[in-house]
Amino acid sequence: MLENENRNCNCGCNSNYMMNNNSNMMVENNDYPNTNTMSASIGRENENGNCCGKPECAPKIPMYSFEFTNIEPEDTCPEKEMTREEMLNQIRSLDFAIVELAEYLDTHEEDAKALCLHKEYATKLKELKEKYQKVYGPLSIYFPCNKWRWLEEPWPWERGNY
Amino acid sequence: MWTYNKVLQYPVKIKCPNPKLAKFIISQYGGPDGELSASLRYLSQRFGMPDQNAKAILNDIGTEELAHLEMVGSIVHQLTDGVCPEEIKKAGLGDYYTDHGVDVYPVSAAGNPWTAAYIAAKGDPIANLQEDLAAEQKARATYEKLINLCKDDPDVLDPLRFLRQREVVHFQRFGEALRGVQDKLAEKKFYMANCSQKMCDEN
Repeated sequence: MLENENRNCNCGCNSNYMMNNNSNMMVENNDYPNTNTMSASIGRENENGNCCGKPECAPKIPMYSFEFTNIEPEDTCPEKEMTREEMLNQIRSLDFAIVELAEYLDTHEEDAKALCLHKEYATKLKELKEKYQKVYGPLSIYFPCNKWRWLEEPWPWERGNY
Repeated sequence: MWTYNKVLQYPVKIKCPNPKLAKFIISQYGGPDGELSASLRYLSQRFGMPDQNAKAILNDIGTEELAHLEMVGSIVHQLTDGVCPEEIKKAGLGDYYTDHGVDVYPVSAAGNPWTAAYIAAKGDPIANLQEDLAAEQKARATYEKLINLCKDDPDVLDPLRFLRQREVVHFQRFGEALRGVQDKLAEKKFYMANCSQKMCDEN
């Protein structure tokens, strides 16, 4: 948790302010043993200071994450080419993290920490979706195509689409 | 999965509240041929369609109907927002007001709450698509009746005309999907068989 105080996410948010609000981030439930651990993990960084352990690999991806979103540093390493399934899983994780953050922000609009995470995840999701759709076809009807590829893939309810 | 866009598909900006019109129009929110029925009908039926085109059209029209549901809800809201209970009562919405105030609740013009009995999923793609074609025509007819009842207010008329037009387009698309499904079901069935040595030798 202490690591958060020095974290600079370059988005103009006030990290001291964030600390004061951090404890509200998760469901406040005294029966849940891990609340503090989970909050702490938001600011967790890889010990080597980058996402894949190689000093030359400068991460563009946030190194902190909600543990429940499964966005692990190795998943977001720009050095590694993701498989289709990995890309979709990360899209799903980022999407869910954004949904969770948006719902939280709806009742905590002043929380700069949450806003900062939202901004980073939303940017990342946009890029990843763009990349995915260029190769594998549209995830929604709003993706521009030279050929109508909306009919190509099995539908999600058909266990298709991974 | 779905995402929400904070914009109406077609603008709804009604200057004069008019609960009498709201009483009629709410039928397209929660009535038998309303947008809620339409959306759930198509989104439920899409799972069982035999070809990609039919699945896609039910998926995409079912999604558009949710945008229409929001438009109709907005019309009802703007027609009743800030209206005094006395006016609500005079408009024949006293019963509705008792249970729902001026919230937008899915009922028909006659006040019957929405029910899944309004929709069908028959386990038969031809029957389902025929149902959808009929549903679009019934929705078009309902909008035409609403347009007749709302002639005095252009702010109400405009989005109703747009919604009516969409029913016509959807009818067209469902007709095309039905044709595709019929063709597919009428196709000769080809079975894969091992090519015997004899057949290969003949060639």
